[in-house]
Amino acid sequence: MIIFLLTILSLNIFSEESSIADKRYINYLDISFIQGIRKIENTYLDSGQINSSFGFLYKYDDKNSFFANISLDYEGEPVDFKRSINERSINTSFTGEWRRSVDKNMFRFHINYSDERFKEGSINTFKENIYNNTKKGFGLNYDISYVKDFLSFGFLYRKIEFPNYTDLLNEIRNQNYSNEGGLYNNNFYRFDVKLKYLNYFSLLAFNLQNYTNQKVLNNDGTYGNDKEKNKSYDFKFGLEEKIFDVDLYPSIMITLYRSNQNFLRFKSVSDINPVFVQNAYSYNEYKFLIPFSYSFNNNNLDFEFKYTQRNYIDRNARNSNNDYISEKQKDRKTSLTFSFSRKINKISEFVIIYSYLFSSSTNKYDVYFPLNYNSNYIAIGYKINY
Amino acid sequence: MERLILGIFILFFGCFNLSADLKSYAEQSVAKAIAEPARFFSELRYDSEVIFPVNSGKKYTFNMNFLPSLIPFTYLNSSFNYCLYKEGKLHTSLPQIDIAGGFGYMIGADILANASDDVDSAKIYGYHIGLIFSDSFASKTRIYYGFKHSYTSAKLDLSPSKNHTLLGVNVNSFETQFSENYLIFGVEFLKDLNKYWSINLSYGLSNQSIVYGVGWYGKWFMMGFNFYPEGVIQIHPYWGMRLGF
Repeated sequence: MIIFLLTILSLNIFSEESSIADKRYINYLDISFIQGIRKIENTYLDSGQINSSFGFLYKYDDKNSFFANISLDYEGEPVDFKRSINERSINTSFTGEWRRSVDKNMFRFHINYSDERFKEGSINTFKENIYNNTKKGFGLNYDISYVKDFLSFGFLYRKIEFPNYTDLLNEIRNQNYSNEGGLYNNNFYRFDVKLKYLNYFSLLAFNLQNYTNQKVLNNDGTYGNDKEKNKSYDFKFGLEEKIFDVDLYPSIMITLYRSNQNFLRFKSVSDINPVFVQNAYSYNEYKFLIPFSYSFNNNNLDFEFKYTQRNYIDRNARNSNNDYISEKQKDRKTSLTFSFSRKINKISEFVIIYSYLFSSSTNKYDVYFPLNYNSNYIAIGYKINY
Repeated sequence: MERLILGIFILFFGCFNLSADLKSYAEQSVAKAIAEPARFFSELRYDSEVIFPVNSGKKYTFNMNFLPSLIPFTYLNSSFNYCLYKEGKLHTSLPQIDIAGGFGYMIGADILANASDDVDSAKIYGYHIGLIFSDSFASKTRIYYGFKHSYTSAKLDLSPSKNHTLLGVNVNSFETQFSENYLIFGVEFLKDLNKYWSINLSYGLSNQSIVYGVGWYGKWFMMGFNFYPEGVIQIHPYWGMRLGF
């Protein structure tokens, strides 16, 4: 409903008069539709993707401006899935931002509301998934600009609520357990510093996720007094370079993720000797990204190489029989994406995409979450950008 | 040219899917359709719900979808888009306002009920009504946006003395309705005199239905492709009549 109201409220901002005559409004829209087919091992899946953003920048006076954005994103059976190969997601969000110039620098304050819904498989709905969540929050940024370089400090807060998330373990064990949802509710904080200097760019960020209800699991299957707390440190360094007519943006990103949550592995519902894994979710992740882009006439060729390796710190890998082995779990993903786009007119283009993903892991237990597979994806679509 | 490329790729995708695992894919599709029959029949009728804005210089458009709504889905259909207000008539910042409405009635369901001993009665129909706003955005470009309510009713009574299966999936009698409130957003380009190209996105607020389409239309006809990423049949090529007066 919020999207409908905001769309109606923003009707007049799309008028040509306001954008051209007095230049106080700058409108934009960015839409891409991609429809493709993905092959994982011997399974074929239809896979669609929509990214759409509509918004405007309103210049109140020389120092103050207001930015509003509404977006709708859909991802159907994504190439690089988070939880399941059949998971689809819809994310709608609104962001309103106040921008104030301070000399050559800029202070920004934003509020955000987003609604993220998931669907498992083709028959279920987007209404009851346990991972459905809403995010509400605000953020502050201070951007210091110097010619083409800039330094930016940011803070972000989100209150994340999962109305359907419940304790499945307790539901199975205790028939009187009341399903009230909200178990995964948390407060998310992020502090970051971004720097762009000459052709180099970098990011340093600290993320903190404090759960309001979820407690840490003990080795006897009971919950302790401590609440779950996740922290992560992100470091990114990259380079923008043009070699002949080819643009390339190689970057490296390191994430150190730490969680105090533990894991109890039951081989079946009747398993009386479950295996306890302390700090099961903590990992170090390394990501290398090398995108190339080459434009000629009205065409554009893009190529991207991506390699991700996630090393779990305390979690041992499992064999195909769901038994733990001495080796630690290491997940690796390598992807190659090639796309060709051709401009149809000033603001739209037609695009063809091919992507190959190879995933491997020391963990060979792929029953609930596949880690060892390869995937091919081919798609066509349209993009509009104004 | 882009129409040709798109057509070839869609044909290619179709073959890709058919050769992959036709039986499994068909079973999944039937199961999906049986799970929410009214939603499935709503998808079959959706291509007849024309949301393109009335052309500049015209008062209304009369539309009829031949493929796939009439043939093969047997929906007798018609829709009407009437311009209530022309852009800039009273004030330059006010957009064009169109009211859109139409219906579809599946005669194939009646024919099936009369011809088959398995089906006692069948009635499938639906309608849509909406408001479309359109604004000049840049040279030869209009954006359009609005709201549409779509309703479909599907009723099927099967003979109770028999078991009915389709591709291994049990089919039972049903009487269901599906209504969806869509938010619409699209862009229209004037390519040449009376030749338009358009792309649009519809998002259902009630059931998170998603439809996006690309279409070409001129003085007499419209054609294009609608994509239903969550649908039983994901890609619908369509062709129909669109007359402006």
